[in-house]
Amino acid sequence: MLTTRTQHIKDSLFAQPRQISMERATLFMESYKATEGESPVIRRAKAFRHVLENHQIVIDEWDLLVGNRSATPRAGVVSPEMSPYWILDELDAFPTRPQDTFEISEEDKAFFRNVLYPFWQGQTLNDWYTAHRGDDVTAAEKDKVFAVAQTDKGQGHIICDFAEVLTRGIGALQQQSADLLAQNPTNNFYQASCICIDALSAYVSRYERIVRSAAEEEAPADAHATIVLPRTPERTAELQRLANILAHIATEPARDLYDALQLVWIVSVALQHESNASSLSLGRVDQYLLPYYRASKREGIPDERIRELLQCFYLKCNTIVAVRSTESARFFAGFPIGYNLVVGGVDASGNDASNELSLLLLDLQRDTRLPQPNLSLRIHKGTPDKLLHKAAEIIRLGDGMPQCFNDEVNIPAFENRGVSIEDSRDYGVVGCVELSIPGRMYGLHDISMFNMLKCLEITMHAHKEGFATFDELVGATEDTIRHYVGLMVKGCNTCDLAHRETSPTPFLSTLVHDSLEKGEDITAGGARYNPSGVQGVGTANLADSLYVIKKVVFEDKTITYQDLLAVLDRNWTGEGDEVLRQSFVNRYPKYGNDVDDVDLLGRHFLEFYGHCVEIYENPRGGKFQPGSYTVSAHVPLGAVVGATPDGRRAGEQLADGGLSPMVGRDQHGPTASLLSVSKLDNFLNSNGSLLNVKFSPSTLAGEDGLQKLMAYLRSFSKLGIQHIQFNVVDRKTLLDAQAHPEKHKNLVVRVAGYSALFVELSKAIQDDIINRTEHVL
Amino acid sequence: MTTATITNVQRFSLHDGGGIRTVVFVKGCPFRCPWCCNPENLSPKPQGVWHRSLCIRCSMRAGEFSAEACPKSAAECPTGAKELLGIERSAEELAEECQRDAVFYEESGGGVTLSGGECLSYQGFAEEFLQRCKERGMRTAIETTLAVPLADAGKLVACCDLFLVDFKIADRERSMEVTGIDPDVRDKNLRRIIGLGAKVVGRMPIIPSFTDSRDNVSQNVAHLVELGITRVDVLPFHQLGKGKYDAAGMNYALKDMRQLSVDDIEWVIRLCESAGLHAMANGG
Repeated sequence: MLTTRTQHIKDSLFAQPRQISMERATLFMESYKATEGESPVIRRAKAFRHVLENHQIVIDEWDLLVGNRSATPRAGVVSPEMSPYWILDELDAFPTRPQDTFEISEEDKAFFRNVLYPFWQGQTLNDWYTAHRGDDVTAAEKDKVFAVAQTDKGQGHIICDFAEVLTRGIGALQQQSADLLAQNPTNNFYQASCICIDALSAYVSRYERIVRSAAEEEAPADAHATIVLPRTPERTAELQRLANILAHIATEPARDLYDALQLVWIVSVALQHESNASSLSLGRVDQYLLPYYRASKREGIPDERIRELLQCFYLKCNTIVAVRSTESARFFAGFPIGYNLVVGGVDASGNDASNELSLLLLDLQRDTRLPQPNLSLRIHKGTPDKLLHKAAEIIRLGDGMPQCFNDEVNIPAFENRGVSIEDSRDYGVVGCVELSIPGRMYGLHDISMFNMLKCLEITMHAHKEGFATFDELVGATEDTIRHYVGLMVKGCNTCDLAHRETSPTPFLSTLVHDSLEKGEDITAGGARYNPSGVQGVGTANLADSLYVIKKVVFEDKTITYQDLLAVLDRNWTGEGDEVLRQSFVNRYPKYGNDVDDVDLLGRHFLEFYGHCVEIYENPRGGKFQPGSYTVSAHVPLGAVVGATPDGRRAGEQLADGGLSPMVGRDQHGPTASLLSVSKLDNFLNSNGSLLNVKFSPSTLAGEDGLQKLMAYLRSFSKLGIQHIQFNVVDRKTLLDAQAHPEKHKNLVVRVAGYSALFVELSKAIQDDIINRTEHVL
Repeated sequence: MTTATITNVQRFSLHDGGGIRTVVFVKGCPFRCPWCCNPENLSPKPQGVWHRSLCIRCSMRAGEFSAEACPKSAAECPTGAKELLGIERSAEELAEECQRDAVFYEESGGGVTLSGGECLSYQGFAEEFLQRCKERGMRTAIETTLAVPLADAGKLVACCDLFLVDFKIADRERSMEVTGIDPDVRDKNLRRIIGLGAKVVGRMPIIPSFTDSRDNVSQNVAHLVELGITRVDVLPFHQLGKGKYDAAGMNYALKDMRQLSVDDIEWVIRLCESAGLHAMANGG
């Protein structure tokens, strides 16, 4: 349960509408005006420092932790230095656009139009990208097979080395950077690193001064601070204590959990001030916070105090959202900022690494019930039942967390990419499901998605004459995939270079090995591991479509290739087309039902895509690696594909997730769908993949239900699938299932003596289940 | 090779013998319980059904909307609205299909459950199927009235790890009259298989006005205790089978009867427990 304090904090997150904030953009501009002619890495470092020195700091009435990115929570912090163009286009639309709305003042709009836009125009990351990507990539992007991401915003998708900051302290890092600079006085990166790490220490001290003045009930000397003065002696004492903690961690290592959480959060906020990016993730929190948690326990801090402090930390993770362009928000709807927090898994020697903090970090979701941090559980064959049981309990809450990752696949997947066994065993998760090595990898994990189904459509239209055999169609589709993968790689590498040339991240780099060792920013190849991750999407639809074509055109010959093409082109609107569509949907097996013929087509193409991708190199000396996830992109990626032979209508969504079967087409239950997914070469997708599974809450009811979910998770691990997450279905979904049964054919519900498919029940029973479900939830 | 007519192989079944299970439904039952929730398994013959909600009227005679008004066969139906239930399948082929979920059985303590209809109407098939499952390393269960003559109880016990046996109407005369089940035959069989070491769980459906009297429940409980059975699943009446009657065009006498909740049968659980039985609502 939340305490009075943390309930107030939670309420305050949603007390006012989200605002667009121009503060960081303005401070960046001020700094850039003063650093004309200097190298980009130095300019970025100085702009970072300028933000840390001048942005509005807020001390509220309740919080035990400080560190705010914007003056109001959940503000949309724009980055015109990345791209002012989409912001200009959408200034008026922010409050009303279909997804991820923000309030914006007329004054800010005018300021953006008259000052920020003209200043940044022509000298941004996006300008560099569009000038260098080449006409072929520009043309290919119009074909909508892929869309290079992070061409208008920070790169993110990384976990810094929090353990290093905690154990050595900021002061030691300052010393290290200063020593390296003394040895290499002309190295711009070392100069930038010193500026940044010194700025961080000063930033912590700035918080200390402001908190102390609040404790002493004085107006802060800082021109950009808002404080709520303490109204009780208890609050005064809290603020004094907090000021002392801040004074300590400005240079020294953390001593206990309070120090550690405060330091982790301030570093996280500073990382946002620098990059303004999605998914500057938290990593294996149950590992690096454990010594501090135990220290606090030894100090005799009561469990409820520890829990409240952790609640404060979880709530802080919800104060930051990402503002995206309308287009981007379709792909990543609902502000996924990506404070991914991992528990469980193995240690460097391969033994179970879970501990009492792993359990507590999962259990906290009961209290906060918010989307961040994004909880992830690493499962391996030695995961204790106790931890798995806790995870099952939390999954059953219905928040979709924790999502589960499988060490038995993910560790070998990294080794296959040349990552050392110890580093592989230490993997974390960035953003949604992207696998990364904390503090050692800059992986451009979310640099592009690749629409394999679109490749089939393009192939079919390029070959109106048809094919003599099914294998020829497969071969031609492969050629299309290979062609567009080459262009996608070119686009990604241009974006990669654009970040190096215009937007280095020297502060983040200081906290990622081996940038200090090498003397290079991560954007220039400073990290130990440097992959680029690109996601193959549409496996299920491609497999389903090809299987139907194989049957109807090449084997049964019930329709000619040209006639099929004509039906697809008119989007099933001709006479008799709907009957054909229905038969294509219902009379041919689909991926996700444990039917080898169609599942193996999926395997073939995802594997083919992976092998196409992995031969390419990026400018940082790393290689491309495949993943397969969509976040919410299956909707916009589906919108650009016409009707397909799997029975999809033009513009309809693709299969969700990445590995998941097409919505409603897996009708043999969750064991069959898991087996289908297990046939894919999941070891190849080292960038991460995503599988959604839905359960009704009643399926998981009681201790018995938890045991079955645990067994399902153990099976998932044994079957060698990378990732799984659960939707425990709510009333709304059931109502939709009632109205549109064709979309929910796979929904398993539990009512009385056995489980049943929801859509096979009569309306009265459905009503009953709907009502009971409400009761259950 | 032994075969049987099968209506459904239901994977991820959670309440028919423990753990995650696959339930194989055999078509054909000599009994007629008015509350039957699997009416499609009463007749031993393949049977056409029509799922009204899936029909897109692609071939329906104008002004009509019924299975008969559509000239298409199940094989021709594009949506699956018309379906032919009951496919003859071999024991071996079914065991192989069931093995696909082996990993889930292992992790959950689940396995395969043979149900119906009355699966022991096809004893040769049942034994062969269960035997093949066991050879493939799967745990086995059957769901049965056990009120049919047993040809070879020893063979059945050897291939079946768990018997889920119905305790419905306790009074013999009324049971014979309402359902056709002779509890004496069941009890004789029970004694035989228990004597041979069979593990048995009783299943008591609580059906308003049929099996829900205190007297009937008490008699069943006394019976279970006397037979030395220690576990019983108490199954509250539900209406999950209603749509199946509609699809099969069958009359359903209990269509307006109110469902029972777990709370409604709490007294049964308590009564069982007071007799020393381990009782569970629905079933693990």
